[in-house]
Amino acid sequence: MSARTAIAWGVQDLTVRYGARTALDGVSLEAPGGAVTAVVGADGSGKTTLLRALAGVVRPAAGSVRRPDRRRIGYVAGASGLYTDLSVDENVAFVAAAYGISGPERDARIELLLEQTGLTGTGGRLAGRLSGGMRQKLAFALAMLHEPELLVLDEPTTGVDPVSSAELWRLIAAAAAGGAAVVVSTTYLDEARRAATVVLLEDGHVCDAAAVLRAGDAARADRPGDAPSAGDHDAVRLAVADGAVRRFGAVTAVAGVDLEVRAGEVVGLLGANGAGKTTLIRLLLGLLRPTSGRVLLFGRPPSRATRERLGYVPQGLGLWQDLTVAENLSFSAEAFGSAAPDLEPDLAAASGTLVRDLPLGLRRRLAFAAALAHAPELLVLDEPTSGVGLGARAALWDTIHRAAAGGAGVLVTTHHLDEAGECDRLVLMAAGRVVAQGALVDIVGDGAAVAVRAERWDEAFAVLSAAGLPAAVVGRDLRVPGGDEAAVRAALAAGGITAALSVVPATFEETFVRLALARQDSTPSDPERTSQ
Amino acid sequence: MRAIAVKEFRELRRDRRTLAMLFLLPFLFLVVFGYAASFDIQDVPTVVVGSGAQTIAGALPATFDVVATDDGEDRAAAQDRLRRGEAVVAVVTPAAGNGAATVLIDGTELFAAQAALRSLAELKASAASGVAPGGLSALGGASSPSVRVSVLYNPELRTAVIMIPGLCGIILVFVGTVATALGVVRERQSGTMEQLAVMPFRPRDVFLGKIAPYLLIAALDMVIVVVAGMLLFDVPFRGSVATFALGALLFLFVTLGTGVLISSVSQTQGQALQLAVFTMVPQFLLSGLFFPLYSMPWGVRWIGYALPLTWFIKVARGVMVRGTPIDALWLPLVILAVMAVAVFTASTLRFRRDLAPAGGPEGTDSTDRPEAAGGSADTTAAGTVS
Repeated sequence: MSARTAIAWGVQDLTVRYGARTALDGVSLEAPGGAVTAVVGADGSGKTTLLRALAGVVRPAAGSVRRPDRRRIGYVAGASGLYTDLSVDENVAFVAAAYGISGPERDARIELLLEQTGLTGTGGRLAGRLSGGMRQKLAFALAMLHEPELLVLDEPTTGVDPVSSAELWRLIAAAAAGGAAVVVSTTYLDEARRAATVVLLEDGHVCDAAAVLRAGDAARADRPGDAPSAGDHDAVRLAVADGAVRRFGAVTAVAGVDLEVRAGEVVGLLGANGAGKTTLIRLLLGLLRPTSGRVLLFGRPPSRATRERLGYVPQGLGLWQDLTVAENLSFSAEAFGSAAPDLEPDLAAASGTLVRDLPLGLRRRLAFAAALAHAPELLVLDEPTSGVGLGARAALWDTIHRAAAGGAGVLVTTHHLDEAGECDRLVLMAAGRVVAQGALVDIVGDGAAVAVRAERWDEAFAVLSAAGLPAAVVGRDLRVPGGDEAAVRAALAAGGITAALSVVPATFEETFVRLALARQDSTPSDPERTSQ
Repeated sequence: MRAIAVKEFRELRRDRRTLAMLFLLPFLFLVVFGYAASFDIQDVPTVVVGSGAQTIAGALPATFDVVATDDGEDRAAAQDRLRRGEAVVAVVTPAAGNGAATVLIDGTELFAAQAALRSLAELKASAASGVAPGGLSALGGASSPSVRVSVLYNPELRTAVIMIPGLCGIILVFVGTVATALGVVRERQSGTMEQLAVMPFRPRDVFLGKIAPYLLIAALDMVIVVVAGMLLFDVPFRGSVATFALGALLFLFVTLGTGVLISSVSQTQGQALQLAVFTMVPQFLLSGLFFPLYSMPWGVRWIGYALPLTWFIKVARGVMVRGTPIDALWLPLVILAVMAVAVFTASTLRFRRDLAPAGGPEGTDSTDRPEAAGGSADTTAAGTVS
């Protein structure tokens, strides 16, 4: 622990080139022990390169890297670096053998890590069969196996549902509390608030993170409150799920969902991985048929005719990579029998470019343009903003709001809980059921959390964790969801820690996690929440 | 080092396709090269015609497998039998015991023709040294020049003449199976198959639109090979173009259907390629392309008969090189038609189900998982990053 202030790993004036392309240009980063450092940026901003340089996987063209010996680094690559054809135990055994950890120390360490990551009992399962969140937690456990001094995690929460993501951040905080220097990259700016320091990357350069964070808050405040107009409830019901159930063999993916999307409203569909969001969307699109219950599109069961009135942007964007921008658009125009749309200037300028050569942001806007070209009455968007930078994200939401203002109904799924505020109405799913729906303020209601400001956040964190009060770290403050101030005070007092406590309104994320976990823990439904 | 080797073995154990390839391919090659691949041809199908046919037939060496004898037929009738592919060698005995016997050999059966020529040469040599078995005197007595041997259709026994028709088959397998499977899997892997499913297309439109380009390309490829073969290698085209086209079309439907079936059980292009290779290797080796089926042991021969390429090669070589008429090719054509209908129907049903149209029939289906869409999106995302 004494090393914590003495050693700071990091990079200084680092430049990395891939051939002619400069991925990083004079970037500096300091990663002190016992703290979390976040690297934030959109896809292609150089996050991964910076982390790879720090982990010693790429050779810098200029600048210096300060890192511990290779055996003291834990590195999780974006694609999580697990062997999907090996079981959890076999993955663990391989990493343990690779770092020469053996004997009783090995077994104790493995048991502890699997317990912390909630993976106890999954030993025989193939890593490839785990959910995205569990895979990331396993990758984290593997990286922590040899107690590294420097832990480098590349986008551990990308594509991970909010519940798992909250757990991962708790694990990350625990690693920092244990003295390790932790460097985490993310595309989610709001996640950066959990870190002690933030490095914001854009096109291989460092930007002023504080300014962008402030700008983001300002932009959100500026957005006109999308107050649903009074007449909304009379609007046309475009998509209706009526007690929809879908089973796959023994698994019930969607267990009786009632949902409707009306003309002119943006409905946000939120839920952990495996909550049934994707299956529900596929039911509504007519890609799957309900095992029981009803799904109606425009008042009828989904058919070829309903598909003409539907616009869909899947998570993978559904573009043909080997066709140009213009060819993609003319194909979908022909499929829907509509005219090719007028393009924004920068898409029009790229009309002869192959989609695979297009930057991700443009690709996404192309997918939107293709889905909107035939003026669909219902727009279904699956994770439309994952991996998108802050500015581009705002632009995509503008497009969504414009479509809704034009009378289309929009159903959108997202893992970005801070985007919940963009939706007129939210539908929260867990374990195949709707656990809450309504406007954001109604769902959060009067939920509360206890904010803890202690002299030593890491000690407070450890004491609270030991007392079964898992806390989230926000910068150097702690938040304990639930608002049971007395319990928090007692736990801290028992641990001999003095801290300032205050009860604050719960965030949407805390509410979401509570609802999702409540559903997972107990099966009986909550009729007050499910009805509007 | 040890840790990595252990990990590799564990992974291999789970990757059943690669494992199958690692252990089944050697076995397959063992069977093929042990039993089937033999340049030492036995049992060359032979007909013997003319007076004294019975006697001669009984006296021929073991190389010749006499499939028919006819006292009444003449040289023209015997040649017609070769043209129709009923036999590879025809022995025409001289009329009324004088004049020379004629041996006709079908040059499209390269190795069999060579074996027959070798055997005849040995016969002549032994006849010259006076140890010829008695019955063979009818073949022209002791004087060797009196046996006239003529190789038909491919007198110089050139390899190109028999390989070009076979090559057409290989091209159809390649474009039909490999390219189609990769094309369909690419659509699925990149997640755009789902996009097609939500567009207002009928499943039929998607299916036909998806395979029509491959059908055209395969047809074009085949025309190029045939024309190039004729111009560059002097390969003859003696038969009916229509018969050839019919055989090619039927065969193409089999290979396209196989490609679609492969795509429906493959998640990635790598898996599809692996499976396609798995279906192609036995076709190349056991279809009679190189080694004639009749000289293989029964067990292996039946594998050959079950392969569509076997029947297409019969049609292609017969029509191009020998000018075989359509009525002599009814068996291969009917077999190809049956295979085409079976494979194509299966692939259409499979494709329909994979496309999962809301209006279409759908049973309880354990193969599509709720996570499937998320999984494929993950792979796409990973692909874009790297």
